[in-house]
Amino acid sequence: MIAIPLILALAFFAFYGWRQRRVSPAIGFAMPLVSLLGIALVLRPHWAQRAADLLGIGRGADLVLYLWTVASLLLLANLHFRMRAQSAVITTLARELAILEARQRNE
Amino acid sequence: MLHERIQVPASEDLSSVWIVIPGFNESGMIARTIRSVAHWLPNVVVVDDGSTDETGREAERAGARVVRHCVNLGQGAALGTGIRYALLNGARNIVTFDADGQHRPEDIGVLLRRKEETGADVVLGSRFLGSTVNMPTSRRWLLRAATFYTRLTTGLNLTDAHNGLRLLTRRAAKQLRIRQNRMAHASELLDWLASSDLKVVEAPVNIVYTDYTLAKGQDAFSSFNILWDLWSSRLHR
Repeated sequence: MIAIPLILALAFFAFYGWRQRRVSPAIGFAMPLVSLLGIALVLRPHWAQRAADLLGIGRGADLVLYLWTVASLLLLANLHFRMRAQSAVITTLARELAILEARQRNE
Repeated sequence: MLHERIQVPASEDLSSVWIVIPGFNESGMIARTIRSVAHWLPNVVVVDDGSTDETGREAERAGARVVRHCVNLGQGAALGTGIRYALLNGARNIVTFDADGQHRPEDIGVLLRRKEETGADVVLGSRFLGSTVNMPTSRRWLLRAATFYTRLTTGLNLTDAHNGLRLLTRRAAKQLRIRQNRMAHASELLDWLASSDLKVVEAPVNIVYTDYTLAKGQDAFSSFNILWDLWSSRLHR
């Protein structure tokens, strides 16, 4: 029963990620990939167990958890770098505004 | 031949020397700091970095030009703003000077003389070539460690890594791009100097530590933040 809403949600994220590929290539590539992998695992749960056996991890659920952790950290790093970029833009704007205002005041 | 009071080479046109003072919530000290330099240097710019107190008004009353950040961005960003403002106003030499009163105004003359003698593009103040008053032992060791790290990572043979008193010629200031908004800007500056073709020298200066300066200064925990800022910025250029 839960498979259908899960697949729909993952398909939405895959589509959203693909649409973001021009704004953020990392998200545009990673989000559809992870979402499609998620859909595959919802439809074929035993694939996770098979992959876990191949990698020497006890359970398929553990493998999914590990992959999810790595994906989350990558997402956090991406957000961090985007925030830095935004901060640089804010700094430039605040600086130009401050200088403009000071020059007008001192003229 | 020297200017009478300030021990600066007479060839130096003091109207082209700009003092840049970044300040955040420094209303208790900013006026005294400005008056200590403004009576013999006409161009003092204070960058009020989004202070929530009277720093900006106090600075104006004391005779400085004030550039106000509408939000608090950090000391690195404030220095970047002050340097840009000074360049736009025709500065030929820019001296960065802390707001908390730890620097002696006479040392500006020391930096200018050192620049004149050596033809350097950048003169960095060094408290370990000069002197300190009331420096806590923990601070001394922290600064020694920072200097060792700087030597290791930049190859610059410096004796002091995080001194806010420095002189940049116009040539150097025009090339400088400070990307580190907060305290990591001092290390970023040294990294940049090491990779530039600019001539860098040190000059002996004096630092006076008071309860006020120590409360405003960096602690050991801040050095971890600085390292994090530096390393993470290397992952994302």
